[in-house]
Amino acid sequence: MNNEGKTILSYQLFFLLIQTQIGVSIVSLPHDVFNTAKGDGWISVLLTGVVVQCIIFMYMFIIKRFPTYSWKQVCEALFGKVIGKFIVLLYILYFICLASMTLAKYALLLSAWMMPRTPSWVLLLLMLIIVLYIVTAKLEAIAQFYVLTSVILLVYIGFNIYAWKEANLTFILPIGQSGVPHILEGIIKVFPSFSGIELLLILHIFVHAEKREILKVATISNVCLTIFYTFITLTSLVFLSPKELKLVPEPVLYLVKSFSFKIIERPDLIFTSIWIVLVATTLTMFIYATKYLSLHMYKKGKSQFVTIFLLVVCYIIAIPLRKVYILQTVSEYFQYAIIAFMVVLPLIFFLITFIFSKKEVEQ
Amino acid sequence: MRSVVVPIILLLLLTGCWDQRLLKEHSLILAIGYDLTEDGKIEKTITFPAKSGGGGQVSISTKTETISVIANTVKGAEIKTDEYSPEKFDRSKAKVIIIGKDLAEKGIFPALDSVYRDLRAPLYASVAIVEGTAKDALEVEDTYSLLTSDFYSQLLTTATEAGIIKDDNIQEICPIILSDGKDIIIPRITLLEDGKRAKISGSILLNGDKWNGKLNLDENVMLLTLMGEANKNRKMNLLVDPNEERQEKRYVNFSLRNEHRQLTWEHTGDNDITVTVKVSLQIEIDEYASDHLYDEKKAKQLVDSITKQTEKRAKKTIEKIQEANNDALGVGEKIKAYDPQLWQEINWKETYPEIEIVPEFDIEIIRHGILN
Repeated sequence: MNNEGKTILSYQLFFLLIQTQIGVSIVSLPHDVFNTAKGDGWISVLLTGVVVQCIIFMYMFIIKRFPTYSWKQVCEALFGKVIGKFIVLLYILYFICLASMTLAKYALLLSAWMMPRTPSWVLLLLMLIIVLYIVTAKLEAIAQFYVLTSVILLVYIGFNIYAWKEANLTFILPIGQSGVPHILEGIIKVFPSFSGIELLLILHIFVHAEKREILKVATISNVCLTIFYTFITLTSLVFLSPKELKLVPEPVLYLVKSFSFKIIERPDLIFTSIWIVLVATTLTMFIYATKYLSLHMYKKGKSQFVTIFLLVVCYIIAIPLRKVYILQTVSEYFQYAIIAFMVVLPLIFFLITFIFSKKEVEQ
Repeated sequence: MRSVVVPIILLLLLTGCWDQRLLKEHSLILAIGYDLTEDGKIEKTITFPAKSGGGGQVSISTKTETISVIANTVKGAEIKTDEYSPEKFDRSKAKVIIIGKDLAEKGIFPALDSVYRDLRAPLYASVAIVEGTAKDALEVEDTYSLLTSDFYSQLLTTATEAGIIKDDNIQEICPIILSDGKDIIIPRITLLEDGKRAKISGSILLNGDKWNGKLNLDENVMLLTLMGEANKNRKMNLLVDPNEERQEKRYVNFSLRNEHRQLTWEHTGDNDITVTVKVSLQIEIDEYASDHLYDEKKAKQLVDSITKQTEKRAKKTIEKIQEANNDALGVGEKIKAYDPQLWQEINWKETYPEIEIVPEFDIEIIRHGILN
């Protein structure tokens, strides 16, 4: 079934997951979570990490029961041919929407922060050309590219460490000021930033490692990601005062914009350029997942054409979304879709697997 | 096929750029001044280097030109400036923003809105408030053969290095203006000799974003010390021996080498909050004409009188900032963070002028130059 075989190594899976999860919303994460959890936003991020870890355990349970099945086979084994196919179709739609939302937000932010005069449909087109180029490569090559580009995360950490010299800890004190309900509500806001972990369900069959090893890698990547997000959020929370944070929708970029060095006067431009890479890696993985699932679904069609078709679909969906208020409203609803596909559906899978003790049938 | 397609794509993609702003089409403004006119409009004054020479050669002279326009808002004035000039003005490299007294009294934050909103805004420009109008400040004559814009930014930088003012940039003042438990102080510029010259004369105490009082340089240095803004170049001059015959012998000059500040508070009764600012200073004597510092006893006496004098000055300073309802020390911030219950009970803006703030100094002479 899997024509590509087990081609990626476990350390590559680590970067694949991290790069997919860190995407367009990293620059706005502190603001999103601040709006509900105030100065305790970082606790929400930490808690989300814990929740996602539970989700990973749940995924691994399903994966262990069906170690060599592709995602489509799992769906069909659990729900029968028709409903199984329907669920795969839903996942395809989900990933297309995820990619389109990412694209729309990307266009909006880039227009606001870097290129106000370039028409944003051009920005989207250029992005899609890059994605097309990467996604047509083998998964192995994509993974290697992700390992390579992970260096840029160090730049993020570096800039954020630098910001700590102006930190004001009193902005987040007293800890727990916003109360438990708000902190828990914050988790929902953070969830979209963790989206991408569901790829584990699809990608695991390509990993050249024991299932136990995959669990280990997924756990490590989740821990790293949680720490990374918590750090980024915490930095913005102590750097910008609460009232200011309310006004600044992309605090991470704003923070970098306020620096100026002797040689680089506008570090935010460099920072934004780097962020484009993170967006590209996220998008590529979403498109890859869509492509993989649709090719599996219909078993025919040239992969190149399918990819181009999918990209065009994403483009068409993204175009009307790239307006501030429209995107805001749509994201508000879409975060529930993310939770549905990341948590609820896999949970149903898990329960069925567990209760009826479903297992892979030896062929 | 490929050898044709690839170059065409490269040519199309790599050569063009929408978001270009060519330097030759722009005139960089390095200093901007904002004033409030009598009928409530914004007057914006910009200064830029005058271009001289011809025949394609453009040399930058030390002469500057200024343009003033009046409009309803800051951004409106920006647009209006274009009506006066053949070149597009670009404020993104501004080094200093000067705000006139009238505008400062009405509140500076609305005027800065466009700066915070603008992608290319000069967030790291210094801010200063002038006693008078920003227009006059930018038209000073004697700038020590520097451009007016450079003059102000260097004036502020040098004074900051000497530790006599705190030069916050646009970005740095924003979180403080917007926070509940802390207020900002902004360097104050005074014009001398009918606007011929300008100098730094202390700082403006802002209540929220409004001018609400001022400090002179001595008090400002004291306030910075109380704020715990460490600076190894900061110096103080105090009257210690008022009974000495000669003027020089009455004073002592010293540099602050190490500072450590501690802020504690006690909540007694309903609205009685007593705040203690404990400052430990390690000082080096720069000038003390009475000498005799080899004698430890004599040195101790000196320390005692220095302590007494600093506390006296500190008290006066604190009185002034409380009068201006300016919590530059960040007492509210601390209480909010470490005693949230108390914070809930009080209305800080109303309570702050009433509370008692006690400065306590612990001074130690660690060196006295190469002379005893």
